[in-house]
Amino acid sequence: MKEGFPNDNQILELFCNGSESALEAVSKKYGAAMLRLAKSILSDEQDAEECVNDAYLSAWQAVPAAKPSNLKAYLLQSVRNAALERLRSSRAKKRGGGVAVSSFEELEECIPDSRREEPGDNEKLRLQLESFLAGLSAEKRAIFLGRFWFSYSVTEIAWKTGKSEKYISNQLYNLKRKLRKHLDRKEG
Amino acid sequence: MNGLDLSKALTDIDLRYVEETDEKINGTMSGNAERNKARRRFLRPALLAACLVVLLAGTVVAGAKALKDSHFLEMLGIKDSSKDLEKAVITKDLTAKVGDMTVTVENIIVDKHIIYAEISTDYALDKPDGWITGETGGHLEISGEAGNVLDEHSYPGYMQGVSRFCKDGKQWYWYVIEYMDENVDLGHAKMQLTVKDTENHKVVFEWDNNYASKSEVIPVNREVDGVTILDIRFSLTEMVIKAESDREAYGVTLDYIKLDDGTVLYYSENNGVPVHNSGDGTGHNGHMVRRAFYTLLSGFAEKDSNEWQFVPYEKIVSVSINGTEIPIR
Repeated sequence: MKEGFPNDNQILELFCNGSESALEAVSKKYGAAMLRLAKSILSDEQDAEECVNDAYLSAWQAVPAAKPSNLKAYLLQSVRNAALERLRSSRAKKRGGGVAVSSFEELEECIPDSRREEPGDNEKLRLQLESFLAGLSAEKRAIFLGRFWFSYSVTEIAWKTGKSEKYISNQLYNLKRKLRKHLDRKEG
Repeated sequence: MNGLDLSKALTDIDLRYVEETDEKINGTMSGNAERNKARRRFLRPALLAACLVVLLAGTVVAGAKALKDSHFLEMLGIKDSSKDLEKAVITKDLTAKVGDMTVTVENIIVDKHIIYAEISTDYALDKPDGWITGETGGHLEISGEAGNVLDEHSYPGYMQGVSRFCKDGKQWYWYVIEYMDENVDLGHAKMQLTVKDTENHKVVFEWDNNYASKSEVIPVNREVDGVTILDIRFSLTEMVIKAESDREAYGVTLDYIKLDDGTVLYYSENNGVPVHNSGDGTGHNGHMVRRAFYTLLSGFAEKDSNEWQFVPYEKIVSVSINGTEIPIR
């Protein structure tokens, strides 16, 4: 393995062989991206670091069976789950909250009034979100997920895509309206 | 929290969408100029730097006079070079076969946060010399990474892009990667450049940079129009204005820069019109720290001039931001 560039297949092999080098390799290759995502969701640095550690532990236990085809996306998903759990817990304790709270609140606004009191059904909602995403162009999907999955700010998305902030804001506004209609229609 | 938890459902979506967004937002792959159209501003330095490098190939110490004779410079209107810029150009001459194509990393320019690489191929094109724009195509995907510049505290974001040009009837590429973390120094980075063709043949070029990158941070701490300009960071090819405000929505508009000989230069694709440059920002509870990026390689020209200049940052004595001129030296 070359310094600085561990290969995903080699890392998966290390996980499957129970080698602790797997965690070292993952940390080296994706640790910074994982920590950035956790920090963007949680305001507390220590919480963010603990989330990343939780994700390492989860990967250690689950990767050999899951054999994810995209290790980076899998790890980021694990971090996002851990960070959301922690955010809920800290909200419940009325402390903390971070930059991403506003993006989550923005997303919650997309739930139609007709469904506000509906009991949670994560699987159904996930499928509805996927059908919504499938109907978007790749650019619009990236803007939507950049904001609501990766928790990038409008400014960051504008910089990373080379578009103006106004363009990104307008796109997000339209996408939120579209999602709200999509969820309403699906329900009806 | 609502009974319907959109954030949770979103977390669990098909990871292909996450992968796609990661690639698109963080720019991990690009095959041609058209695909990177959205990054035209970012690629502009690459295009212009390419002109310099083409001329410098094999004659790294060539002087500015010779550079000015280039038709590439003429085509793009760049006015001058400098010894510093010439020293930053490093000949690599790394060659490999990608499928049937011979690919060579000819030269690189190393800056603190940015690497530019000039890549030749033996793929024949029936075109005149010059940049290939406004059309899809290209036969290679090029992506890069620096292997030893980020730690767990670093911001891992980077941008990269590719432009194509024709030289002597062959297809060439100009590649650029910029890291967003201000503490990153690519001067001694372990670099990796992956080149793939349309049939998935792949070659990975690797090298260690060994260049003392130059940079300077000038503290400003001055309030302008409700925005505090914290500092201005310079490196060989870039100027970054860092500002903060209690407002999340605020702008950093660079009006002009003034050089030590009194020359006033404007940053704009339409001279004389101030540009509100996109940058990045981190916000928390309504407070936003923002960075605005400007290339020193090609972004500046005198009013009503189309001659874009490379600006050695030591020559900049004042910077006008949001209507206020701030002396920095």
